[in-house]
Amino acid sequence: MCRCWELYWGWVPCAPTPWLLLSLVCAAPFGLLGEETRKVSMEVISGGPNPQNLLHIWAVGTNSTLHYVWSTLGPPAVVLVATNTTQSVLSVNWSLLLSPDPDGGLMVLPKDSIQFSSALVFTRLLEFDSTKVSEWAAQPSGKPYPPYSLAEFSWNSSLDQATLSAAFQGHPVDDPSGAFANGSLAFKVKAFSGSGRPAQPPRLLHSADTCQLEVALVGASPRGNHSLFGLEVATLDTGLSCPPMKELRSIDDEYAPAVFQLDQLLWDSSPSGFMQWRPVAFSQKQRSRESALPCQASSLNYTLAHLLPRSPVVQAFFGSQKNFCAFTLTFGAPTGPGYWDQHYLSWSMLLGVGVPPVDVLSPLVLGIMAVALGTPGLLLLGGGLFLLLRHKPYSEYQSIN
Amino acid sequence: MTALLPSRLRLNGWGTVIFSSFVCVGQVIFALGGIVNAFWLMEFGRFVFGIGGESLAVAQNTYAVSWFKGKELNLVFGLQLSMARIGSTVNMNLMGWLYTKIETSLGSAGHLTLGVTLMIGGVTCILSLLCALVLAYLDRRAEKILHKEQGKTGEVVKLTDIKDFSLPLWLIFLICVCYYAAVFPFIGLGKVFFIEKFGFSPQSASAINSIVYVISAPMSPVFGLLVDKTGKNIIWVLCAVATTLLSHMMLAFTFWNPWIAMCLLGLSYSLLACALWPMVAFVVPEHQLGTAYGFMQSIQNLGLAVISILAGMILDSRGYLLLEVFFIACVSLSLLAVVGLYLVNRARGGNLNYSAKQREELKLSHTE
Repeated sequence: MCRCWELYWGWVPCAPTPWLLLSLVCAAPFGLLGEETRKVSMEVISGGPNPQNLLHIWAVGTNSTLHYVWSTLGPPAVVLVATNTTQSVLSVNWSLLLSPDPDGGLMVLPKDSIQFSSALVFTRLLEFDSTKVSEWAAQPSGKPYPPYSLAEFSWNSSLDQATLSAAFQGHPVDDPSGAFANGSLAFKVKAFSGSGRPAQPPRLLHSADTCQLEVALVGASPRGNHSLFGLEVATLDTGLSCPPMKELRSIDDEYAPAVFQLDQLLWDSSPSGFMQWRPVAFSQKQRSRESALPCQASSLNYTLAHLLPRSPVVQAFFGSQKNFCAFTLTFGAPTGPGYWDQHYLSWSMLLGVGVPPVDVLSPLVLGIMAVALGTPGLLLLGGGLFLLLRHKPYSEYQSIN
Repeated sequence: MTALLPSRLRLNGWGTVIFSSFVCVGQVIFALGGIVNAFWLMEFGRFVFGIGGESLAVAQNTYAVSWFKGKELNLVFGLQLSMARIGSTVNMNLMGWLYTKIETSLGSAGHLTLGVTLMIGGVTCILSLLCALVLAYLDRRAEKILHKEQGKTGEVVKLTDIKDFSLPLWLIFLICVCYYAAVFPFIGLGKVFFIEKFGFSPQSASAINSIVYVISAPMSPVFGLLVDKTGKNIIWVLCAVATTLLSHMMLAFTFWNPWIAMCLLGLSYSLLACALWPMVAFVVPEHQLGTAYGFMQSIQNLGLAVISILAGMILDSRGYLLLEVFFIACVSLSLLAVVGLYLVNRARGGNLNYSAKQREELKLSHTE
């Protein structure tokens, strides 16, 4: 019986159960309520006196729709909404959205069809001086430099309907030190109509219920010789507690060599939204094991709304928020490959609703194991039988001379 | 070359000295390459080292046969292996520490630190050369005092003997290549595996990597005695290969404490060495023994060279799980060869799997 899709890996202190191994064999990347494909559409919604843009992606399944509203109004943010109808629509009131009090400026209608909604806000780009790790014991990455607030960036956006992808490239509006003179921070969004896996590491398995975000820092000048970068991410407090961060360990590193862990953030309601990523970033465009950087995620902490850059889109949909849950991701270690090699940093994550996709052992591994274990056994059996049958005629006869 | 040269040069007692010198010079060139930051020079140094190193092993074996034939030869072979493994263990645990010490005193990491560390490590090669000189002197002295016929491994050694090798011998070669291909490259690439999968610190990862050698140092002579007393070589080889297969499967598919798997690997590696290599002497006539051992050594090294490169490629593109599965496939091929050897030996009524008692009877019946 395949209950595989609801099985999660935790730390495995004792023998793997048969179900665990079976799940690796037969788990399939089921999405929300098992949607295998969705019809995905993208549009840019413009409005306001200085035209601002919202990217709206909606993925329609047999009886559900997922809406992703990406915006760079304020800090980059995404509002994620799942509805139980194929007829739900997004409604934007630009005059409200751009006003100081944007409550109600963004809505998904009909409101009672909403099964799940949440948001992610990328608030700050952090930088640490890794040469001063021991002096700054509170921060394992090193002494922090003043962070860049992503609300004070200006963004260029581009859209590619053919590949269902969009990119936002940003640099600070005020850049006195010229750190971003030849560089930018880019957020690349890609939506999917079915399940699959990209060719480039970390090769996160996606399904029709997910979209992928890649954050890339390219060409920006660091403030030290050995700077480590980080990203601060905030999500909505669900009211009861901050959503738990799970670190899932797996024996399978086929798709991300030498990375045996998968990190997940699950908003606890059901159907639940999730954020999933491999704790690895890459310091070269040609992603490989040599350029892999470890990625550390801190635990989620309550943060009051006024301590974070304000996101009008989140406030427009959810109303005035008192509390957010924020965590930081830090990329790299003081020694080894780092941003300093080629001034390039790339990290990917998946965002979706429903059951997070689970990696399974590839047919190649299973095939090799079957042959490797089966063949000697069969040979022993066959050869043993052959010898047994061959010896029968030669019983106790002993020649005299 | 490894089979042919030692038989000729050892007669002068200088073979070991020459090969030891090659090892010393090779290490110095290797270290120099690090100091001047020339990778080609380092490769050349390793090439010279390799010429000396392998020939030294065969010359060493010839000395052992010459002094201990008919007496405690198995124990000597076991102890030889032990000493080599102790050296490997010390290397694994010391060199990293030495590098960091040099790094702090020189103030920077990089090629200079590496070169200096290697040069210091090369001091042990000089020690080896000194031992070779002492051994050459003792050998000459024994020759003069005892007027003894040196225990040659045969009258004439020629490469054309290869065409006379029997099927069981080729199966033994196959077992050797496939087995060692799943042990040495794994140990070479294992440190990061233990750090990433099992969350070990770099020091613990080095320690667990070296446990295979640490275990084989004391266990090789013990297993040597065990196999001497009980015989049944093929069964012991089967046990060793099966245990290695189990060990790799544990490392690949579970999160069980890897110390267990690595200890099993160490034990099975020692057992295999003691049970497999003497089998060559049972299937090959004396005059071909040198060629057979030399050939076995050669193809083992060729296999290791090719598999090491392949293992690196697999790891970079598909990760550790597939690498472990690849090693499992190698061990499985070795297991296949062992099963094949057992069946062929059984079918032909061969003597590879005789118990110790049967061998005694055979020896007595031959001397009657």
